[in-house]
Amino acid sequence: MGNSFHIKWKSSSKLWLILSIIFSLVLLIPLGSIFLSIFETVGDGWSEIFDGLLQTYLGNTLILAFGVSFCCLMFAVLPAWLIANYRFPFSGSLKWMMVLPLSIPTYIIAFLYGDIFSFGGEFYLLAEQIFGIGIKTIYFDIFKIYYLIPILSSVLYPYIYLTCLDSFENSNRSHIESAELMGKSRFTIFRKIALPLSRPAIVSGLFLVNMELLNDYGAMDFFGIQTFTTGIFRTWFGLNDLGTALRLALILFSISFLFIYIERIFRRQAKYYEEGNHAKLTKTRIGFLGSLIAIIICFIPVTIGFLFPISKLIYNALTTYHSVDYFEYTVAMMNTIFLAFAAASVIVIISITLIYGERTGKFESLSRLISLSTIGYAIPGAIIAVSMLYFLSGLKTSFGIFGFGTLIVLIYAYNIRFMATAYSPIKSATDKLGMNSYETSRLLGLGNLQAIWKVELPVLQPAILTAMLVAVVEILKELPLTLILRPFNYETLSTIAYQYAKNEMVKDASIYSLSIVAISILPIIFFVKSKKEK
Amino acid sequence: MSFLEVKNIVKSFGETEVLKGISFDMDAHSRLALIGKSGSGKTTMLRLIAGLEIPNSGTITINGEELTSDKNFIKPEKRNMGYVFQNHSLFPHLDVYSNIVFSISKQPKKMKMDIAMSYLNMLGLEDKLKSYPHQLSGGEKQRISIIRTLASKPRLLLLDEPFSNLDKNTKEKLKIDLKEILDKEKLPTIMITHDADDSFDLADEVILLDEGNIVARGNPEDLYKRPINDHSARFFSESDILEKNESNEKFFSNYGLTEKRICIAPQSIKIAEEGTQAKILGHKFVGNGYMVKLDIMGAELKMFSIERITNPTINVKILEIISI
Repeated sequence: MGNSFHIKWKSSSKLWLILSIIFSLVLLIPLGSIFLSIFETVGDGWSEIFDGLLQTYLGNTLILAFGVSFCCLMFAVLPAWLIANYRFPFSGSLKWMMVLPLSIPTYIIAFLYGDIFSFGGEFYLLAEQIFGIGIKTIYFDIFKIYYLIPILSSVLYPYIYLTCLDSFENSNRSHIESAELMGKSRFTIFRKIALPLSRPAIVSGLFLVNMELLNDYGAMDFFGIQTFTTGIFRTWFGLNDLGTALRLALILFSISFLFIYIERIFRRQAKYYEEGNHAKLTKTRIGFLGSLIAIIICFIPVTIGFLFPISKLIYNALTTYHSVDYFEYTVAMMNTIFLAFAAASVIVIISITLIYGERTGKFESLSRLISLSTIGYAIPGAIIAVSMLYFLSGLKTSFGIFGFGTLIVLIYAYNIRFMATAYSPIKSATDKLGMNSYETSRLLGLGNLQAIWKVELPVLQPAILTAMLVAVVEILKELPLTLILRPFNYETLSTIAYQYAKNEMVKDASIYSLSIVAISILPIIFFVKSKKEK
Repeated sequence: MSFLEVKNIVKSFGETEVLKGISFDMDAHSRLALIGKSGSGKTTMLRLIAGLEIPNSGTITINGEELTSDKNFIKPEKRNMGYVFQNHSLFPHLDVYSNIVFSISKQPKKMKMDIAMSYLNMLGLEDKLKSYPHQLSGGEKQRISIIRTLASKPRLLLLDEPFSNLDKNTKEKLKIDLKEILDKEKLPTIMITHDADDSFDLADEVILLDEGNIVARGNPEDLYKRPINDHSARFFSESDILEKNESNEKFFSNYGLTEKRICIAPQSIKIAEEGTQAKILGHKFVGNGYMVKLDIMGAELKMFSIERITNPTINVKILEIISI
């Protein structure tokens, strides 16, 4: 009977069950359709790419993946250890300042540093004015892959910093304290205990860094680095060759899955690594020299990734505000806010439906389907855009419906990409809530919907708001999906900032970039505040 | 026809079979305790009765109405069961009054208030009417949770380890209150606990579960005094189970015992002027007295004594020997 479909169906809430199956399939079908593209005929673009560019794409992707991973580890791990273990001036403020670079999208940081170090940029002007050094003596071409590595790392390292900090501060406390009682120095403990034990946390942070990297289009395009994402754009927009774009997307899809697979293996290990005491470590006070070194080590990534770029953005905005087209700015701002809130609302509603489908249903296979449907967070935006186009053209052939270039399609694509941003916080809140309140209200005679409406939703409100906020900010920062799928002439803050930068008018992009950063900083403040309250 | 009938219930979670064909019945107005160690399947059994889980096979009926079977499944909200969870599960965003009247929200306001106040007065909690769950102590939360369940007028009350998160004093007070309420309401009740003492205080019948099987059933006092098997002996009392072997052979022959396994409760051994000589092996303080470890003709047994025994040997009389 436990396995009988009839009884499981009878005991489940049909509304949530049916809706969650429909939504899961709706989220997965466009992604799944990309596998069918293998049978598509390809244009001349494919042979051109296959003969030479494919190696370049792969080579650049590998160089960036290794380089950015290494650089992010340098920026994140040691500061996380210092902040978790030692008390030094500014350590409290640095703890949350280290997270701030997350508010700057990769394309904005690339525009800024590209502008500063380009020929005639502020770096050379200052060198000439202060030290009297001529541009030609010290000029170097910033638009090289090796320079892009530290630039991107300076805004991506917080993913590793956050997971490492949690691991050092909480999860591995008992092991660190045991080693300390055995007379080991903190440095030995760092090398021999903390680092090996934090491996799953580091890998999980590295996974997020690399996913962001694979997703990036704006920075690569601005620096002229050829990767799979720029290749997809080029073959589609430049060569109008959807078949090749789909094939490139399929290769990128496979690389993403490889990363997901590696991350899953390490996450499974994490269960064994991260057991034990979850209280916080006692911090050691360090002397003057030690404090100075610690401050410098922690301030380097914060300065490169936030303080310097934000100062430059503010400076640029102050010097260009008179030339800003405020009508264009207002329209872009309104478009962005409307799009972000509309898409985030749909994402939150669908997340709740998926969660309740899983929570109230009795089918185990449904949980797997729902979990799979939130996988879009690990799929680069360009893949989602290409698969959407392929899926829509299939719909047009079969049913005469197209919809390409409409807001509905863009919102649909955002749902695929950002479902996990809302699903995860709400799911974690419902897991924490447990089933008792829900089951009690059912036993007290309330139907499924009533139990959720009257008992669970009021308690879940903070998690739903957090989910909404995170989704809004992610959509606001998003570039590749928006660029490809937006309606004609529909401009958002990110698309205008990108276009200005592409036309070598980086300073004019500042007010748009600053607005994106200002809004993106909100969930970080929210996150820091909630951590402090805890 | 019994009030509740549970027939051949099998329940697995993945590969693990938690209940292995459980059957029992229960009369209206009776109070049944399902007891057993952690993992014995007692909570699963209660959740199956409430409709919170689906069994792999088996049927559950109340007053002849089929609640769960191969063909039928009545949803939890249609079963009219009262369920008290071990962690109270009061709704955190509702005050005490709103929690209590949650299931009777369609009744007139005055009636709702009367119902809430009658229960609150009974338990001396009338001043907590407007308090929120986070403002209550553990014992108060559990009392309100019980009141909320009773206010819904269930046909069967299910208590899932209602005392497990409480300190000793609060637990004893709550037991007294609960007994008073159950006596007044005359409500059929199934309580699960891992503490035999709870069943002595509240239940008139006990089912002992072990690894998904019913291993003993009966009146709690009888099971305490005369355990019917190893499980009940170990669970209900500190009775010693003796298996005949070379070292205690003399004891078995002295008492003319033909059985190979016997059970002797500590309370069945008394100090007597004329009796069998016993060597004192040790004492264990148990609060209201001592559990004295004795060696009687090679058999190691326990005896309860109010005072500590200073002599190295004493004479004892065994009042009852139970064969298993």
